[in-house]
Amino acid sequence: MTKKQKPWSLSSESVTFVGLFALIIVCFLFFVPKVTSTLFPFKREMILHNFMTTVQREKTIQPQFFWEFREFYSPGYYTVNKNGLTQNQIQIAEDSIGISMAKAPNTDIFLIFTSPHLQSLEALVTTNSLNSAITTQKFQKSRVLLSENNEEVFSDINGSTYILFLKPVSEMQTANGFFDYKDIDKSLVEGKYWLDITKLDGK
Amino acid sequence: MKKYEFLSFLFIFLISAISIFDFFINTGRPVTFDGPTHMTDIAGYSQALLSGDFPVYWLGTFGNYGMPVGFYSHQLPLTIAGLVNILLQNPVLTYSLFFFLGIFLTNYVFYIFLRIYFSRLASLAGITLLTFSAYRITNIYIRGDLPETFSGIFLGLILIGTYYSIAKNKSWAYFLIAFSYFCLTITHPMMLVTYSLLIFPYLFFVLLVRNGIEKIKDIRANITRQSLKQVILFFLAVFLGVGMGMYFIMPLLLETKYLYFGLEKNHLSPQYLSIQNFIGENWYYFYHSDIFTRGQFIQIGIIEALAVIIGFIVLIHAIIKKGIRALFTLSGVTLVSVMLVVFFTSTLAKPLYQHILFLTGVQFPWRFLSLFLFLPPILVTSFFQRIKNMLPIILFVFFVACIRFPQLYGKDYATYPVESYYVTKYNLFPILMNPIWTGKSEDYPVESTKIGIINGTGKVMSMNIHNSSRIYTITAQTPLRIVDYTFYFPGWHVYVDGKVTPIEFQDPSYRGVITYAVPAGQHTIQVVLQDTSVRKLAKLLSTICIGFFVLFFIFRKKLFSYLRIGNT
Repeated sequence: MTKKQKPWSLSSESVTFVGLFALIIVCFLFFVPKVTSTLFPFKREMILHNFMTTVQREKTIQPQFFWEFREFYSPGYYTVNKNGLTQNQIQIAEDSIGISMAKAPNTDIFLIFTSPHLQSLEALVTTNSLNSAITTQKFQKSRVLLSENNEEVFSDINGSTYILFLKPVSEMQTANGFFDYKDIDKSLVEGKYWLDITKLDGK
Repeated sequence: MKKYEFLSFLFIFLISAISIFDFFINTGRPVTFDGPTHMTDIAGYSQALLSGDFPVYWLGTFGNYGMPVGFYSHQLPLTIAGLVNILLQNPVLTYSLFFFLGIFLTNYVFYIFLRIYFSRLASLAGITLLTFSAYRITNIYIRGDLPETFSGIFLGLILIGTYYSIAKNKSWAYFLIAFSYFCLTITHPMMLVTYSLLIFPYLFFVLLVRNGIEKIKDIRANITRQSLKQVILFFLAVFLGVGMGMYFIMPLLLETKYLYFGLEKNHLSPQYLSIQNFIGENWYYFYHSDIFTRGQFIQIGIIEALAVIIGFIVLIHAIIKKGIRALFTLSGVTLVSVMLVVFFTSTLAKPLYQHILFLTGVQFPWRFLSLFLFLPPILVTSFFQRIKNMLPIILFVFFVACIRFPQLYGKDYATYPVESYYVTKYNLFPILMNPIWTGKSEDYPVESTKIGIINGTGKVMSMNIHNSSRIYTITAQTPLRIVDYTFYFPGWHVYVDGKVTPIEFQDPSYRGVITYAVPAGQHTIQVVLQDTSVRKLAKLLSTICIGFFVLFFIFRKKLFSYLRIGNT
């Protein structure tokens, strides 16, 4: 058989090109962090497991750790208005999370995080108690992973996981960069507490 | 062969797209240091171009009452992106597309340059490293530096032009050099300084070595009378290119004295690099005060550091084996350039920054890494050139992907109303870029109309507002004092019924804002930004240089045959 008669015969350069294209695409799917966690449930499981293990071990939710977890567990985007979001925006987010907090007094909801598997609402409140800011009793908790002062992580009977916490602004400013804490937005955050309500969809 | 070149093109397209894919799969924009400013500039350039301004000097809705952003922003990418944004009406998408375009064209042009010396697959290995180099990723996802990324296109073109003008004696290459210098000048003039650390060593390398040397005495043979002519023509092309960009660079040099920025003689922020920046691989989600953006840790990256170390070992080995002529290789020139970059990024260069003021234009010593990112890819390409087996190339690409792909992400994507890019209350550049007679932009009240009557009784009958000009008709029952809610900058003029009227911009109640007097009666008022004598001269110089460029190009055959140089 001559070389021409071998349709499967590939020069080493051709093989290298095929290898390069295949390699780059595979690496793209498995190594680019937001692509991986969007495509593969096992990756999300790994990130969630790491988060839960750390939270249970440390018995607290570290703001920076949480902020990073949220972005990589289920990539999404923020809708932010430091002076308060519109009623319509808040309503959509509340429906998605399954809570109602818009009518709570002295609550400025300023941030929504929207993604396929995780939704978050953040607000600045004047109360220093999570139970005063939001009623958690209505949730049908099936498994409590963390229940500390002003911090709760639990699953409900539908398999959704909730992360709730209330922290002072001094902790908020270590993770949430949407505010200028020292200058322009000082009056907005002074004397307030940072409330976060996050829901991770069930399997 | 053409099939393989097309595959190379596709491969470069693919890796370029992967490097910035995150911008396109996420909603909104990521948080970067400069990204929002560039997006707002793109929107402002669209409006200015739609108003008929060209070149764009003024952005009328930027920083509350307008700012002379065109004097210090990046004319070429912003003008083209501004035009594209007129169609898209989406500054975030336009910014992302231009980032991709800058990356892809830089990669492809540099690939063409590498192919002059190296094989296809070896060059692709180098381009893979360039695409995913640590500093490039920092530029995309942390700094958001679109213009610096865009500038890379012209470095590759200048190197190609240098090779073909000197080694191949091609006359068209001088025009490529001039054109590329022009584009580089109006894209990012700071890069004229940083890129010089490769361009000039490379020029002398090509002059001495041309198409390679067998013995060191060949170098002497390569230095001829023709070489001198070629060098003179090379520098003429450089001057012509920079000269064509005078309309931008002259006001930048001479009129930024009206900004707070211009009051500082030395613009250098002394962020010198140390050993930690050169060794290791450090990426941070949060880092010191970088809470909003990803942590900015300037580094060359572990792969690049290894390439440089191996490059030096190989060079020393070659010198021992072949003698000093081993230094006269592209790798040798690249390593000279590496040493220059390391010098200029370190505290060793401090005395130079203190005494040579134009060097301080780079703002940060680490900005020389904008050149450095091209150097390890040249070294890597030259390593793989020696290896016949293809497997190491595949393994190298895998190695790069393993280390760098996890860093291809933007932080804190958020959506903002499109209008927020077209009208800004704040000067997104620091207050340093405000005219010296103004206060902070955000401290001024936001006005719904450009004109207001301060004193007297009268009525504005009509108004026609453009980016850098307005025409009003006014009926004044009494003499009026009028305010135009525009920050004064040299070149703004007021004409009442065609006659020049003095502008008062130092009223404490309207600090830095254009105010003027109008007598009683019916008047037509024109408020317009015109060229100062500096801008007129700058535009004249640009026009003359562009004229010479066109003339030289038309008569290139005659010119080069008269000079007995070149091959058209």
